[in-house]
Amino acid sequence: MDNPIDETFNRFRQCPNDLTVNDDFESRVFAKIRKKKIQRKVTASVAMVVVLFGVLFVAGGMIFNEPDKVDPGFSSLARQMSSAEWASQVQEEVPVVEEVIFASSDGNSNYAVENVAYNEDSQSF
Amino acid sequence: MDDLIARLKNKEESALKEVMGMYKNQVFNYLNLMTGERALAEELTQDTFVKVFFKAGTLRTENLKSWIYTIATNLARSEFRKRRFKKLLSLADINERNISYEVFHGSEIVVEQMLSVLPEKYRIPIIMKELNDFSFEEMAEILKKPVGTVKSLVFRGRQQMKFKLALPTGGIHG
Repeated sequence: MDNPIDETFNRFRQCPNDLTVNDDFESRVFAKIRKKKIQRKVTASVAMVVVLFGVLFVAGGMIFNEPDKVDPGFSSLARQMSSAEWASQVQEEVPVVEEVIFASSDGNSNYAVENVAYNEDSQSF
Repeated sequence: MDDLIARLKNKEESALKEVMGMYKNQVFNYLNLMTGERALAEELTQDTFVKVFFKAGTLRTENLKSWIYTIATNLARSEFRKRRFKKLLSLADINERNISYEVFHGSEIVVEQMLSVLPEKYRIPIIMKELNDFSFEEMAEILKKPVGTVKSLVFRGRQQMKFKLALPTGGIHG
């Protein structure tokens, strides 16, 4: 028998010196329970809002990306035209400057070769 | 008891009050021995009964006491992990701590001294067996270990205490 150990345990059992909890123990427990209930409600509400947003986001994505149910050929032509119109509206006007080289010879005349620029506004060289 | 358990599962606060009346001081003393800190023990005891209230629906056993002690033990272990307890009380620190128990004078060993030399895995079974009078079967249920393992832990815990306190057979550490 481990005497010192058993003696100590026996002494403790005979005079356990049991402690008691504080007087406000139960009120503290119920306060913690109330706090936890509120926390759970808040967490559940936040989770519901997040899920709702997620569902709306997915549903919205599906609705707006849904392909047209009309004739696909027509719709692609319509898209091309609309994109051309769009392109023409967006496209900037670039002044036309061309280098024109004119050369000819009939044996009697000599013509000089020079660069000319076509001025669109005056419609002259 | 069945009625009490049924009311507890229904989340009746009166049932919780009744359960606290029966077990709060026992659990408190148990946790106080485990942790060595009165304030922490009281906090963990409160948390134990909060968990008892919310987890009552999952209660599968008729042994309410074992179930409550299981919750208390798990909370204490979590707290140990959180605080990275390596040792509860060292012999050198014993006078500086807020010791809850009456210290025996002279050459007698104090319970806290004996428990302080043990690591958690031996300390918990020793406290349950020697100071809370649990049976090995109840301890096995609480600690989720086979009965043989629990017996072995208690035996090895006692061996360690004897060795670390340098107790010769029949001698007393002075």
